[in-house]
Amino acid sequence: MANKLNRRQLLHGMLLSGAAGGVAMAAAKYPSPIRNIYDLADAINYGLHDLLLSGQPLVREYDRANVAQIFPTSGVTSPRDERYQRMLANNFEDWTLKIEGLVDNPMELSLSELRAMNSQTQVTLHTCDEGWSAIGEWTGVPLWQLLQLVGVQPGAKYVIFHCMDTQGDGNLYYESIDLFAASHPQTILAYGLNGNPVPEPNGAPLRLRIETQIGYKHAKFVERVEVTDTLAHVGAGRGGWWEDIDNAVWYAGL
Amino acid sequence: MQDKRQGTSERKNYLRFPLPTRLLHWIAAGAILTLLWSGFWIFNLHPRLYWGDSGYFGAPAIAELAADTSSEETQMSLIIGDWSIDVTGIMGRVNRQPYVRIFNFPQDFEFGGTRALHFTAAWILVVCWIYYLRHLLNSGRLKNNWLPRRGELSLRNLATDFLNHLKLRRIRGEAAREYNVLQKISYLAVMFVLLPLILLTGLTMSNSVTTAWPILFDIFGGRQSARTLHFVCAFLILLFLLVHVIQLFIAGFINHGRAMITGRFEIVPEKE
Repeated sequence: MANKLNRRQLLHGMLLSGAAGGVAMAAAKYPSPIRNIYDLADAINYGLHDLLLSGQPLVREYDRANVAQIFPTSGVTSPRDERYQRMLANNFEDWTLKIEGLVDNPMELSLSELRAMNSQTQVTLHTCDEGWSAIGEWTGVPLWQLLQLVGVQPGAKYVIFHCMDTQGDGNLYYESIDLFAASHPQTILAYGLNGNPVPEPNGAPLRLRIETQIGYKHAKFVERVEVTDTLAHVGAGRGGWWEDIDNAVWYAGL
Repeated sequence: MQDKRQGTSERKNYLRFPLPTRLLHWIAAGAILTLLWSGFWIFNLHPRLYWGDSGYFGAPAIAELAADTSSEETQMSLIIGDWSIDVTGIMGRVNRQPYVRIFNFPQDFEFGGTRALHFTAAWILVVCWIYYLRHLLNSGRLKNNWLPRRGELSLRNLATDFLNHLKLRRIRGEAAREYNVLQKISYLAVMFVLLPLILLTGLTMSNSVTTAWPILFDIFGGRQSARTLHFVCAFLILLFLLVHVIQLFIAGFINHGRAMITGRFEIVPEKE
């Protein structure tokens, strides 16, 4: 009887220690300190979903006929920053995108330079954490292409998107994803929506499309892309504006 | 257990719920209440339900809480299809956003934190579900206590049981040892239909999960259909919870409540 019990207990013990090992690995991989059980659950989701997406599968694309003509918005729809409004009035002629950090050749690109690069158009479903979702046709430059151009240095782990819109608390919006998500074939910096330039409420002139993750990760009004090995030096160090002030989960695949 | 075989006229108690049942019951209860609570606040952020892939303010909803701001005081209505009812009393509005007023909108409400809570509680419930399934199978509870016996599913028995419920009748004597057939069906439905369905529809709202398994979209008819089904399941689980607690009072709060805490249940003799 003892033997029979032991075999079952052994199997259970092995499964349990495997799970515990997995959780420990996920916690070690998490970019910020684990403060509580919520962060631990976030780390577990991050680790598991990375396994799920390890082959970089593509998100489903939709028929162009289904796009939302007036694309819905969330968050800041018109930055109150004077600097932004001046650039908007000037059609972003003096706007540039900076790509810097742990890269071999930092770059600064104008909107026309970005438009002249290989572009990608995708009709995808945008989902907001509030609960709504809408289909849009997005055109832009694949992020992996830009990262290849600047040459990511060994040791780099994350990409931070610095935005131009000041939030209610006086801080600028920012978001971050890991290099793996940044390299997904459908992760693009988009300058076009439904065949037109991205309108102001949707993040003119350039916004992130990170199709494997939820709405607040899709930083709008982007002007600087920073390749880095840590998230600690921006804001409160949790990797995004919502993460800093609202305890939003950093891994936003769900 | 002392069983002197002197018939049912003497009170006796026995171990009704073994420790794993009790432990998992209370962990699951905590997780489910947390999920219903956080899910309620998440729903509040966008109290509209749709069918298909997409849905947003400006697109037609199959059910919604709508705000009419044309008059002095904002009028709120609940609209389901063509049917509409004024609910100004129980609904409110914060930041142009309608919400269910039943509980006051907390000043320090963190939407991101509420989502984090929801996902954490979901993990606890998933682990609990797996252990409960293991316990049900290993202990024989599934076969002995949950699955209806031969003949129990007959129309006559179902009707009798249904009438017993309507009469709010308390079952006494040896019959109280067993779950009645409607009870069995409801436990099976929650464990094997509602909980798996609410997990899968929840996962269909996840961008990364649907990237890996787009078949979830095909099963549930799209992200918004999955969201609608998720809230329907949540409502049914809430309904189960209410009936479960009401039944506890009908069947005997002290005796059944104690059974789920200490495990001991007392057989109360049938009235002559």
